[in-house]
Formats: sequence, structure tokens, C-alpha cells
Amino acid sequence: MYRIFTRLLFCIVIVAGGLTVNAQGKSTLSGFVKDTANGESLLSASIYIVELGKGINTNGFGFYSITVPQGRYTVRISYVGYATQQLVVDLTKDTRLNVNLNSATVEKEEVVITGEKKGNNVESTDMGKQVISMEQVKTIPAFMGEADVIKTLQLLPGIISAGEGNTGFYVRGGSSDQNLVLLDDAVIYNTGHLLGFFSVFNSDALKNTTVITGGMPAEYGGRISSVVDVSMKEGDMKKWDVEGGIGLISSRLTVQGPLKKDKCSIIVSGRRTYIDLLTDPILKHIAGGQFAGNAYYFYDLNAKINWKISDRDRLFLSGYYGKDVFNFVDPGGNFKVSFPWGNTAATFRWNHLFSDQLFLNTTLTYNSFGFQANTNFQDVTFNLSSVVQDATAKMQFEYSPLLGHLMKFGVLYSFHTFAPYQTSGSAGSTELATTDQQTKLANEAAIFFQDDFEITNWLKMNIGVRGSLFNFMGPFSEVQFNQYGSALDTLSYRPGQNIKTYFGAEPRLSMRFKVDKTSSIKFGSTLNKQYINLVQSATTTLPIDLWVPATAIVKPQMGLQTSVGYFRNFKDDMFETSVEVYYKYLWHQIEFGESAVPANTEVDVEDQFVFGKGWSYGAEFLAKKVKGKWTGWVSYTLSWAWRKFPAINNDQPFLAEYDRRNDLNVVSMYEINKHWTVSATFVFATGQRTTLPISYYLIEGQINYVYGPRNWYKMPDYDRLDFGFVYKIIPKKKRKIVFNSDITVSVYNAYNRMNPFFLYIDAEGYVGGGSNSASGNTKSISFTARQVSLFPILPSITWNFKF
Amino acid sequence: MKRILHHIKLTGNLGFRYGLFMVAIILTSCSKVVQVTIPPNSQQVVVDGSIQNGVPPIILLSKSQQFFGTVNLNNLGAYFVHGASVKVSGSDGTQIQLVEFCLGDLNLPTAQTQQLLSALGYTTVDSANALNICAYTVPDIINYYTTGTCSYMGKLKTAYQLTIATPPIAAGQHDSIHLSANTTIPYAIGLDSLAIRPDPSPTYADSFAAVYVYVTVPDTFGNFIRYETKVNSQPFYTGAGGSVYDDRLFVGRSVDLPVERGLAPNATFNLNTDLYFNKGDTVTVMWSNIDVNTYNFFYTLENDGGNSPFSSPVKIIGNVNNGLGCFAGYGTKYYTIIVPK
Repeated sequence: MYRIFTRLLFCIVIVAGGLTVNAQGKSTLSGFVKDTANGESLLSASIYIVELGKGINTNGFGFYSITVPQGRYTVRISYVGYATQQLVVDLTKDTRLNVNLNSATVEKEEVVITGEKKGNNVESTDMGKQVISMEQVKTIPAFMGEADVIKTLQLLPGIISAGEGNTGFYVRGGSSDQNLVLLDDAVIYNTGHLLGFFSVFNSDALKNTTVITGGMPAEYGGRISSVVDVSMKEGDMKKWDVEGGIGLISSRLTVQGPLKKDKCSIIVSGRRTYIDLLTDPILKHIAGGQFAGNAYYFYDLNAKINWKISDRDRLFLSGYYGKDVFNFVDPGGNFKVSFPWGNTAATFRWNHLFSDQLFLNTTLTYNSFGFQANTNFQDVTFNLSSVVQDATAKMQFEYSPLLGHLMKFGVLYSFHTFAPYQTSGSAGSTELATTDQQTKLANEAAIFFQDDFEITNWLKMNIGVRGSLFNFMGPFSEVQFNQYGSALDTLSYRPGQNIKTYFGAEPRLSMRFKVDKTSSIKFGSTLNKQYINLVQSATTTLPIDLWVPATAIVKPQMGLQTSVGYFRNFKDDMFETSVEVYYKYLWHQIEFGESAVPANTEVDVEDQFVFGKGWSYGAEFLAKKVKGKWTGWVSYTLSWAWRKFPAINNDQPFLAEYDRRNDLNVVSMYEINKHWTVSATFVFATGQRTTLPISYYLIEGQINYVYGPRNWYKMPDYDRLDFGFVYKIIPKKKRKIVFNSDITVSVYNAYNRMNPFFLYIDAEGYVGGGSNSASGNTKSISFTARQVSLFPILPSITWNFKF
Repeated sequence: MKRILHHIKLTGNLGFRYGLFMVAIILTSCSKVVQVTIPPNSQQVVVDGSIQNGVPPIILLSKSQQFFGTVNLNNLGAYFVHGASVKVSGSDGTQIQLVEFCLGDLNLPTAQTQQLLSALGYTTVDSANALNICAYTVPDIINYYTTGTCSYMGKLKTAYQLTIATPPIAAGQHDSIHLSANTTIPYAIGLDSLAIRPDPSPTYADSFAAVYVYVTVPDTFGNFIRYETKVNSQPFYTGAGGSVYDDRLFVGRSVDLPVERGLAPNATFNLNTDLYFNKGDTVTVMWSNIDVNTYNFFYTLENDGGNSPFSSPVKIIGNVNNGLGCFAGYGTKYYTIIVPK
């Protein structure tokens, strides 16, 4: 299937090349689109040439370039939430047109035309792609008052939440590690704070987020299900701003401004929780106070410097540092634990404009995720740490030589370091041996090319291919054991020695067939390879879960997704609707074996893996209202997610834990007046899959469970209604410093439904009876099934300010 | 909760798992009973057997049970498998046909009844109405409990095979069920010595003390340990961190490690006191070398995380063909120390 797909794509490239025309008598219109107020680049803003009925979007740095026949044109520049500008351009030569757009709220009402480019979702070849603005994120009701971009993504079709209040997500039947999450191009390996209840993304520091669940363009790679591309703000080029918020569990503060006006700006943003202060009184009063002394908190720090060297060159330096910290000292002082974990990311970017048609973005990134567990029990200290880190260099060119063509091509190199379960410790005066876990090193490289172009008025294509290579290399040594657990031999590889190399082509294709002005049919098919993997040890992604590279044992995951969609807009693009159906086939999927103990640090985690395949299919329905005082969307997904592993369920297919037959999201936002905005979300999802025991037996008088087939039980369905209210306090008099603020009230789970978090079988009693038995001397065991629910109705209030 | 407690391994992700354990305690304290329909599933024969150096083989044969019934004194008879043919044969050419005894038929004195129950992992404080456990063992088991010797006992560095044929165990079954299992009693390496150290917490140092083992670990991988502790005349119990250990962390070294005090089944657990020994206690440590199959069985059994979102179910790796459970071989040495007052 893979070979046929590759050949088909090759033929399409040849045919498409023949259909294109040369560039004689044409000129290029290019430039940057920015926010007038602060100089921030506007991503995915639309530049539309009215006479030609064609247009283009700005790239990730607000740059656009379009080459058209020479002439006089009306150019319409628009961006969601901003007033549209319409200009007449006499295009007789290559022309630079930088445009500053005003936010709709500061524009006089009569000239405000807000919205996207006319029929953008119908015109483009994009499938399963959504751009989320931070305004939307902040308007939607927030859990505990923490506006969260990941939780907003979970309300889109095809994206499934990992569970109650959780920021983990699954896309179209893929596992959580198959989502590429980028913050300014740096990979974020663990997106959750506090076991996933909050995401690592501080909404004040972000500009917008693009999510792609369908046809992944060739510029992205390394994951097989989705891309979540998060961009940080660049910093206000015009004036100094202070922005912040005080909430129930955390507070935020952001400072941004020009180091040199219109040349260089800086933004620094921080967030810190005070959960430790809130939970302390509770912990003192449960379980006899033996858990008092716990201290948990998390914090984030984002920073970015943006330096416009010239009209052709621009530098960005951005960074993220976030940590969760949990410390515990038992009241007696005998048992101490400390475990910090978190992400670090740093990005250096250089934008260079070779010509009006050729744009280069060079990126150097460093990112790491680390976890530590430091314990002290009597005289035994045990320190455990796991780190995954990448150093990456990427060059990406964007070239638009002809009308309707946008080519992107480039190269990427990444050096991965996986240092799982690095242990050290001592028992009294004796140091413990740490020979069992080793650092794994790998090189990853990719070269990619894609072209988005229009063949005829009704046919537009995006074709691309990504060639990827992954090399697992020494130094590395492994001890071989026999079936009795005795060591047989040690295989050693010297530094740099090739242990295993994988490579392959990843063709990407999407096509748009325009039916009429307001509707189109799209087709997309992508083949992706994934060389680094995370296998969850539980439903929730835990910081102790390890990322592991492809090795001689672990083969790269591979996914082929094909989707077909019908897109239609109504009422002059006020309503956007779409239906997409997809089928995804997944090779070399990884799970822990049925008898694996994921917490076992004494063996290489890959020795506990088993391998199989998966497939998923479904239909996604989306209806959005994008203009007017009332906006929102309804999304519904009908889906199946299957897995089949020889070592699980006796090779019988089973539904993945994130299989959700029905997933419905209703999001509604209404701006009543300049003071009040109200919003509501309703979520319904088929119950999560889980593996419950089906019988039990006694060994040495203790209960042990026999589990049923993998994920055989469907938990009760999930539904929830949230409300949000934003009251903007508008300053009455104009002063030198304008102090804006708002009060945001959220009500999570408004009708107080006790949704299932997990189910378990509770055993009461002990066959031996006795004073320690919960059932006294009855000498009996009885069982009940119990459901744990997390969050009842949770109102929260946050005060946000900006001056 | 005991199951989650077992998930804490001293040499594992102890700290983090401890945190999750705490979260789980908080969460399970706000749960509600729900109805779960569990599909019918066939009962399986369960082997809970052992052979130890200097101890006769003892095999408990039972049936896996459906949920939402109740096992108690009145239906233990239905719980155990009766009338099976059970044979143990050793690599030294010896073999023995075991016979079935139910505790109530032996007419042992109370102390010995408790001792036997304790050896089988079942304990009760209600000595007047002891559990009527049924087991397959040597015909002269009485001699072992009265004189310390009997017709067939385990030997060090010997492999044993258990073969079982049971009558049908469920309605509708017509054929007998054949099971087998293999185990080894390894060489009993034992430990070097036990020592007493003060409780590290000044708050509790007046009442409690810690017991340490000094052990020299062989310089080859593949040595597995199971240990349990006994305080005064109480039965042997397993510590909260589990009973089995792989020596990989300590290979080729001499180490001193704290001994976890065993906890009675279903006991509540207090970090400050329940890991330590009271002053004046007589502490006995049962230190056994085991083979990899026995290690895997108890390791998976003690680390079954259940189905909370923070852990995963673990299918227990037994060594019984056509059944559940384990036939475990122990190369055991006992060590005793008295905690000074």
C-alpha cells in the first residue's frame, strides 16, 4: 500500500508540474501584516485580491508573498477580530506592502468588517485544521478560572479529552504521544501540570494556536496523528504594557514593551500556583494528619526578545521554563520525598527575506523534559531521574514564484538524548549500583518539500514529501539474560557506532475540488513516521512515563491517514460547516505487556513493550458561527479506535481506552454589550474504556484479580455544562495610563454531575477475619464496584488587568 | 488500598508512587457504589503451593471466584478443590503422592493450627473457630508439626515438578483438569547478619527501632530474594514495599538495608510507626532465595496497580500450566534478633 501511494504521488507531481505556467509579466506583492497597537505579527491573516478572486495567508511570522500578473488590484487584508482593510495597489513591479490592522474593538463601528478571508475554509486545501485565538480561549468557561488552550482544543471535532479535567488529548484514534506539540518550534514533551489538570501554556504569553488533525503538511513530521503549533507573543513594539490576573489557584503577570521602539521588544510572563497553601489545611485533617507536610505547586516562566534588524532580517529569542514541585516530609521525619519535574525550551529564530518571493526561517531549538524522584527512607537514599532532550536545527524556505503557488522546503536535524531512570543512591555508607539503565543517543534528520498550488479554478492541491532518517547510536551496552534471569553476555557499542538506522519517505497529499463559491470537497492522504515514542503506564500521562527512541527492538511507528470532507459556508460566510470522514491505519504500535510493571526501574522499559497494529475511523461534523455578537460552534464526532496485539487479548482486536463512539461539544459565546460577554460549553462523550477484573482468587489469603479482556468495560457516559461570564471594567476618563480590567467568573460542571473518573472493585474484609479486618470477625470478603468522581460544581473567579 | 500500597517499591519510583497513593486515598474517599455487569467467565483452578528446604510441600487447590458473592467460613468447602490427585517429584529422583487434609480433620492443638495457618498465609485471631483450610501435603504432616521431620521435605539446589489432576470444578464440566508446574529450591545464600539501629525520628526513637540486614550479594545477576518478618509469636508477614527483590541494584556488593516490618493483611498503615519494631520485640526474618519464576509471580502479584488512572492492571505471571497461581520453591534461612528495651 505504501509503495502504491508513493508512486501515485510521484505521478501527480509530474502532471501538476506540466500544468503550471511560467512567470513572465508578473510582479510580486509581499510584506508583513501586524497589529497596529503593539506591532505583533498576525499569523494566518488573509490577503485577498478581489479582481482575481485569489489570495494567500500570512505565514507564522506574519509574512506573505503573492505573485500575480501586473495590473491594478483591490487588495483586501483581513484577520479574525480585526477591522478589514481594503487597498488599491498599482502592481507594475515587485511591491512591498506592510499592513497594520486595527483590533475591531478600537475601530469605529461603521467600518468594522471582521472575519476571515471570504470562504477560507472552503478555498484552502487544509483538512482538519483550526486556528484558535487566545481571545477565544479566554472567553470560553475555564476550569478553576485557568484559561487553557489545550482544553479549548478538546472541544474541536476529532480531538478527545484524556479524562475529567485533563489536558491530555487523543486525535482520531491515535495515542497521546502521536501529537506533536510545539511552542515556538520547540517540542514540548509533557504538556500537563498537576498530573495533567492544567496545561503548561500560560494564556497570557501566547498569541495563537494552530491544530492540524487531518492532512499534516510535509513541513511537520516526527508524529503521526496531529500537530499543535503554539506561538508565543512577540512583545509590544510600541509601548510598555503590564498584564496579569489573580485567580483562585494561581496568579499571572506579564510585562512587555519596546527595548527600542519599533526595533526591539521583550516580553516576560510568569505564573505561579498556590495550591500548596490551599491544600495544607485539608491534608492536616485526613488520615490522621500523616499527609500533612506536603507541598505542591507549579510555576511557568515565558520570555521572548524580538529584534527587527532590518526590513529583511529579524531575530527572535524565546524561552520557556516550567516546573511542578512536590515535597513531602512525614511528620516523624523518617520518610522524605521530593520530586520536581518540568519542561525547558529555548528557541532562536532568524527570519531572512532573500527576495520578495523567497523567505527563510532558520531555527535553533533546545528542549528538555526531566523528572526526578528523590527519596529518603531511614538511611537509604534513592535518587531517580529521567530526562529527554533535543537539540534541533531547522531551515525552512518559503517560495512563491507564481500565482497560486506557495512552496515550502527545508531541512531539519535533531540530536536526541534519552536518559531514562538514572539512579543513584546509598544504603548507609554503600553506594548502590546503577548499571542497568543507560543513556540512549539518536540522530534524526529530515528533508521536506511541499507546494500548495491551484491547477484550475476548481482544483487546488497541496503535495509534499518528507524524507526522514533516524539513527540510534552508541555508546551503549546491554546485558543479555537467559530465561532464568541469569546474565549471559554483554553487547557493547562504541561512541557514534550505528546500532540501528531507519529511513523512509513520507508522502503527503491534499486536494480541494471546488463545487461552487460556497462549497468544496476535499481529499487528503498522509503517511507519517514517528521515531520516538511514549508508552503510557496509565490512563493519565504521568511525568514518570518514559519517552524512548526507535531501537533494534522498538520499530518506528507509522500511520497512513486518508480523509474526505465536504465544506460549505452559508450566509456570506457567517456560518461554516464541514463533514469529514477518515480512516487511519497504524503500524508498529506500542503498549505495555499485560504483565508489565511500568514502575519497574530495574529493567529497560522497552523490554516490557509489546507491539501490534491499530486502525481507527470516524466522521466529524462541525458547524461554526464566526461572525456577529454571537459566535460558537457545534462539533460532533462518531469514531472507532481499534488495536490488535499478538501479546494482548490473545491477538483479538480490542477498543483503545480512548475509543469514544460519540463526542459532542457545543460552544457558545455572546457579547451582550461592551461590558458583558457570556459563554457556555456543553460536552457529551461516550464513556471511557477500562479494564476491570472479572474474577478473583486467593494466594496466601490475599485477594488477587483476574482481569477481563483489555478495555472490555465502558464506563458511564460523560456530560458537563459550563458557564462563563466576563465583565469588562472600562475606565471612564482618559488618562495617561489606561487601566483596563475584567472580572471573569466560570462555573464548571453547572448541574453538578458526578462524572466517572475511574471505577474500581472494592474488597471488604479478609477471609481470616481478625481485629485488623474492616469487617471485624466475620471472616468474609465481599465486593462492590465503586465510581470515583473528581469535580462537583466548581465556581471560580479571576480578576484580570492590563495597563 | 493494600493493592496501591503494594505498588510502592523501595527501589522503584517510590516517591512519585507515594504521591499517587496519597492522591488515590483522597479520591477513593469520595466514591460511590455503582452497578457493574461482569460477563460470565469460567472458573479456573488456582494453585497456591510451596516447597521449602526442610519443609514438606503444601499445595492449596482452589477455584477462582466470581465477584459479588461472598467467601466466608461457611462456604470455604466450596472454595477449595477436593478429590484431586497431586504429585510432587524432584530432580533427585524422589517423588510423593500428596494427600488432602482439611484443618478441621487434623485435630491439632490450637498453637499448631495457628502455625499451619500462618505457614499457608491465612491468619485468624479467632482461635476458637479457626478457618477450615484444605490442603494437599505429605501423609504424615502431623509428624512434621510434632517432631519437625516427615517423609518428604524440600532440599536445596533441587528442581521439583508438581502434577495435578482435579475432578471437574464446575457444573457442566465432565473431564478432569490436568495442571503442572515446575520450581526450584535454589541454594540458600542467606544474609550476613541483623543489626538494630535507632529509629531515625527523635519523636519515635524512645519506642521504636529499625532492624537492618547486612548482606553480601553475589557478583552475578539472577539472584532473587523473598523475605518476610515475624514479631514475637505473630505470623510471618510481608512488608508494605512487597516481599520480593531482584539483586540487580546490589550485585557484587555488601550492603546494609532496613528491614520493613511485615503488616497483617488489611492492616492500616502508618508511616511513622508501622515500618519499625517496638523495643523489646523478638524479630525473626525469613530470608529465602527463589527462582525467577517465583520472583515474577510475586513481583507481578504485589505490583498490580488495579485500574486507577495512575496505574495499570497487571496480569499475574504464574508458573502453573492450565491454571492460576504458583508453585514456589524457597531456599530459606531464618534469623532472629531482639530489639533491646
